[in-house]
Amino acid sequence: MKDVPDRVFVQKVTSGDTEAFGELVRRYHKRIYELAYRFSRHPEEAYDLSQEIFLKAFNALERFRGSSGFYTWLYKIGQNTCIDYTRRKSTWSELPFINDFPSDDSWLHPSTAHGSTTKFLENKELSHEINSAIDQLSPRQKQVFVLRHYEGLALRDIADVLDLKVGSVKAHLFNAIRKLRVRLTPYIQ
Amino acid sequence: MKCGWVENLIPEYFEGILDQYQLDLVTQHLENCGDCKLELDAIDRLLDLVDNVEVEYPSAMKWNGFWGDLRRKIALVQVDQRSSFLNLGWYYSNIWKFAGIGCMLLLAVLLCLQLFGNVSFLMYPYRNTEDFRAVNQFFGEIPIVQILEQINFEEQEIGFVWESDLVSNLESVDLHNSFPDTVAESWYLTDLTELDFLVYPSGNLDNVVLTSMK
Repeated sequence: MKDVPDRVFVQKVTSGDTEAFGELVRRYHKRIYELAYRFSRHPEEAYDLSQEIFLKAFNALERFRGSSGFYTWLYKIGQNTCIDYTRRKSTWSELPFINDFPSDDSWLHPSTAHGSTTKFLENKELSHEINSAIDQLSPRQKQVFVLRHYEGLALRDIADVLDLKVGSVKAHLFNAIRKLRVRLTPYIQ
Repeated sequence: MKCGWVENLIPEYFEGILDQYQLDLVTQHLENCGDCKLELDAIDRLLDLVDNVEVEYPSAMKWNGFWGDLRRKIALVQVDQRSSFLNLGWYYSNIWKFAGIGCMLLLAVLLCLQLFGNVSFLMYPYRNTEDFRAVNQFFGEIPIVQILEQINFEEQEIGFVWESDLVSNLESVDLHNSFPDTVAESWYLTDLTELDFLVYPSGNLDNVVLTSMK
């Protein structure tokens, strides 16, 4: 089954075989979930977001011309859906986990319980703190930062995706890094 | 060069998005400025830290049910689409409105052509007897004295045989039909005493014009 190209399943789905879409989902749902997670920073949100991406892809599959690979096409839908998501979620305090943490941040500092940054990377709470820091960026800064650092897009590509000038992308990236630098200073010193 | 100016460029430096002139200035400055070098290291660690955040997945049960959940959502969408069709929701879609207007305009044009133009779009079934009578009547007007025999009538192939001494006066044969493409064949037999018309099933022979030299 793994050797069967995507287009075979795409043809089956467009012919009315909905179950064939399940194979495409099994192939790519992890990668799409990770894309969604980088934007949402929360497993429940990422799960719903990745479901939304696949649902959109299913509904649009008849318009898939096959000029690119299926995953490339799916990824593009995912990217746009995630960008829309960050627009919708401009108030990041809506996310549940942010309110789950003590306000004084004292428990997060590396010196309180752990010996090294490496150990902290294994710590779920630290991940949450980093997620929280990224979430507190403005929607634009977050879009630019995620697309640059997690999706590896070039600045010009980010400018195209977000319909911005390259100079604006640079500015958003600069400000995002500065904000993260301030917020995460305890963990990088 | 001042540290503040360089510090502002460090994120871009790290991103590799400085132009060559700025890059040379920053590189030169970093070689001589410990503070800025520390800032560069801090951003390096920051991005390393951020990049290494692990993706957190939902519970195994939920993760394994990914396709099942999605399948249910797809089924709901499909039901919605079907019910919206039955509820005539599609009627309000603009594309159907434009299609309806287009059909009405087309019908109006065809009706005008039928009524006022020299074009007939109304088809009527092939009626052997009447059509043959029309042909016979028309033959009465042409200067061929006698039609001796009609053959192959039942097969929709209408043939005429006349006295051979009159055939030499025949100059041309024109078939006229409401649908020119449907009466497509006529031919003379070798002895020039017969003229056959093959009327295709959908065809309807209106008349035949035989022009005589007389």
